[in-house]
Amino acid sequence: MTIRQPKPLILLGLILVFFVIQNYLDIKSGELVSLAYESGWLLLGSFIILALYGMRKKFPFLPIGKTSSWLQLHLGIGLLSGYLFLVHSGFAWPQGSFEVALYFIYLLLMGSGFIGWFIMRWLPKPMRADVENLHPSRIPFRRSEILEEADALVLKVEEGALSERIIMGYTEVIRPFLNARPGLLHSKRHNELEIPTPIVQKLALYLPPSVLFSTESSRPFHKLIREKSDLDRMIVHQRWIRGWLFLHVPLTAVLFILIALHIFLVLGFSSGGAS
Amino acid sequence: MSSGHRGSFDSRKTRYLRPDKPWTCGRPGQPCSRGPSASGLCQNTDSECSPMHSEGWWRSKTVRSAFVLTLGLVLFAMTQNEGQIFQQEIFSPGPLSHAHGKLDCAACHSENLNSFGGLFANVLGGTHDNLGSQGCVKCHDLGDHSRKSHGLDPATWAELYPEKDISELQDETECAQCHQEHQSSGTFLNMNDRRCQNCHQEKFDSFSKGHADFSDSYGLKPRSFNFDHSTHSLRHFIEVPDQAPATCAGCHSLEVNTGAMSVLPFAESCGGCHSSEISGQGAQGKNQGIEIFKLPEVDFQTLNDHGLQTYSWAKYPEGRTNAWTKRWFLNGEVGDSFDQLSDLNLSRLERAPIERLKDVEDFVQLTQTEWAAALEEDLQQWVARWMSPTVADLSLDELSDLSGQFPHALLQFVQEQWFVAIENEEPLNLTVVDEVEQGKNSQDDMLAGEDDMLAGEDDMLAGEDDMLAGEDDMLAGEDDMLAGEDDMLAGEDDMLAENTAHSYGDRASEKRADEYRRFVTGVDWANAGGWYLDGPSLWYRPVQHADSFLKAWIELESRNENRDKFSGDILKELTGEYSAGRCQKCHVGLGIAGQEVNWGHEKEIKDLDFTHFNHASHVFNDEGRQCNTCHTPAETKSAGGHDWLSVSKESCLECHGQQIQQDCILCHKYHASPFIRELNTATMEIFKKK
Repeated sequence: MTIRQPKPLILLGLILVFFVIQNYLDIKSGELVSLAYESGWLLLGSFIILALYGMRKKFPFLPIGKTSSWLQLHLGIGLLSGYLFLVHSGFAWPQGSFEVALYFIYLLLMGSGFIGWFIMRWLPKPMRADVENLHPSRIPFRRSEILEEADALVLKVEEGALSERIIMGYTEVIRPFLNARPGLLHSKRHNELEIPTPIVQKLALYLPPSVLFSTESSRPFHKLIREKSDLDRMIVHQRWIRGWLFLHVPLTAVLFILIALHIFLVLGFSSGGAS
Repeated sequence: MSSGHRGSFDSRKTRYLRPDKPWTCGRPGQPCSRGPSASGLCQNTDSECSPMHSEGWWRSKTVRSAFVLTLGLVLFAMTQNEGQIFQQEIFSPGPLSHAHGKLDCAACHSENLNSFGGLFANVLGGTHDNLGSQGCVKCHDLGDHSRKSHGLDPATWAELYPEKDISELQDETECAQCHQEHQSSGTFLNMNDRRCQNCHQEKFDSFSKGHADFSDSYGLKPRSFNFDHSTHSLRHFIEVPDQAPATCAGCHSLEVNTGAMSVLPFAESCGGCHSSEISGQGAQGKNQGIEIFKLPEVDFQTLNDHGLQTYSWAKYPEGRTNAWTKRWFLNGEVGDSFDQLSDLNLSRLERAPIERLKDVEDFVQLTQTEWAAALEEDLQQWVARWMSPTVADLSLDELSDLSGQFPHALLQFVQEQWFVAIENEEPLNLTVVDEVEQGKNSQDDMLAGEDDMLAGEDDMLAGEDDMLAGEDDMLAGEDDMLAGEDDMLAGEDDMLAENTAHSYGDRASEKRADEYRRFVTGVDWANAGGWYLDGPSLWYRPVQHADSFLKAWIELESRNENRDKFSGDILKELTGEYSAGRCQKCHVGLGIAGQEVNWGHEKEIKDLDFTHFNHASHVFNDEGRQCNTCHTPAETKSAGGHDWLSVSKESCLECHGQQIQQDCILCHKYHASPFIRELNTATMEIFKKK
């Protein structure tokens, strides 16, 4: 995992903003006034700046700083908004249905953002290590080719003592694996054979893999299984690396509506008491 | 192919490669040079190519879907429900406290919330004051200055701290700043030391470090009772050991509801020794009754000498009338007539001109007429004539107490006794001879003595003559009736002999009266308290603690707005050192004009109260702490009459500041206004909204 060094100016600015806000809230907290408005408006401001990062990506040609700088700003303000969020909520769990929804969607949004940042930092290197020079969109096609190659191979298996077991193992274990789509998590790899451990265990019911992959005719199966496994890993990584945005971005839109409604209700209900 | 065509696409079976690069259409055998649009749609109108949607397309679709779904849910939540403009339970920020559980939004929030238009108006043009306090004070009436600092009028601050700048105390604070509704915890209160120190700038570390010492009067309430612990312990309880309490709890008890230490009811504490004093008995007993209505003495002899028509009058009145009776005269038709006679001594009219004698005759006649008229009135009107004309708006309870439940039969009986016209049948003239120490003498002795008195041969007469000669207790003013009889005995034997022409009673009537004298007389009849007739006066006798009649009159005459020129005399009569009931003996501050009467020891609700202390949490089940852990007897009484030292900060520090918390609000209260003690009451309007 690689973490880019934060840009000094951004880091300094964020620390400064944090202390200014903290000092302001500290002073205010001693007064007989509610901090909800102050922290609320600051939180809204931070949310808008965070959302601007998404807009920034839509307009890469604009000369308003590098995207990497915006990302660092996005991450820093995300942290700051987390603190403001806790201040705004009074460091307490919400009570009403709407506020619970607002609270947990905000937490989900912030959580997905930081998980996304972690994935982005952590996954690219393994992705490069899995399958080189293969575009993700090409994977389904390559996967179907692998299946076709394996089907062709099994027809060439010569009659012998092990042929029946090889064909059984192919039919029951290898082919379903080659034909299957990966889930959200990839399987653990066998250290020696570098194929998914569950496949090794299932094949062992028919023929020990060490024996199976020792013959000349069956050795290509090992290669195809390993390639399919690599493709699966890549798909899983692709899903994670792009999938978090399918949570983060829609949640942003949802939260915009809920925040607008929250402000509407707060302003509506906070204006004067019953006469 | 149309741009909207999106047929199924199985990439596993196609040669489709990279949509963002020079294109190979996903459909086998149909190479594409145009590729998909930015939104992932096919741009080739000639073929049936249907490219795979881009990641951005899917993300955009997800965002749109989430947006629309959320918007739909929000719109559903904003639909009307049970007359509300939206689903209240969805948008409620949390459960209400149990006290407010039945209220709807509009009970506390702006009534504009009954419509979306009003809600929008609030959003756009509202004050956004984080909920004004109007809704709160609708039920919780904290007075006119509820939002000012500590709920007090700035003028009060200026009065309390004249040397300080109180400009900051003009600021207002909303209830919701500290009291937060919609909290499931139910604590409701968001207060801490820092909030106190926002205004209280002389900051210090804690109660144990830096907090000022207590004042010299801390723990010493203003005295309501005149009680001397030392004298009772060192002298009285030694004399009557069976009445002596073994511990403080003999006289004090804890009010569990408030945690305040109080004095046990009279009957359980002081009453053991002092009950008899109230009824005028025992060693400390003095006067037994209060003379409420007293006819003045009138020189009827002179009126007769001038041939003026006179009417019957009570027998043996002496001297002038009293304050209550003057009020009775002045509050009626007879008032003007009585007022005109103020310069005359009605008991000595020899030198009065005939015109003035006619005025006296009118007064006597009017008095009799009005008394007769009173028989046709009700008790409230009867009592009202004894009060100052400024008294208004008394409740029925107050009037009842002030009347002492005066019986109509007594009024009628008095009419028969005092005001029978000459031409009418002679009255019974039930004149009662009262005696001090009546209870000690037998009724027979008294009757015998009075028989002898009438005959002029009685030992009692002689004895009482001696008493007169010696200027004994009568001169001490202990018994008006004795004085009256003394006068009668000393100088009015002649009158007894001569009063044949008038209604004062002749010998025959005296004899008839004697028959009545064999019955128990006024003050003795009233040994359970109440009204009685004695000669020319109506009396009231209190016999038990907290007599409602005495209390009501003392309170009435003490209040400034109820006072007139007679109030002073009435209060003196009621609260004198040896007045019947002896209220003044224990209750401090009675009889002071304009001073609100505080009978109890409780803290007055009008007092400002910045601190609170709960005895219960300190002395219950704590063997290590007793009363004298904090309260220490003083060697000499303080100026305020306390025989205890004030409570010192050190006694608190034994626990607080060490293992026990010492927050500001542990002892201090923000709401110092007395109105706070009227809190927790709600107007019945709340039920109309349901």
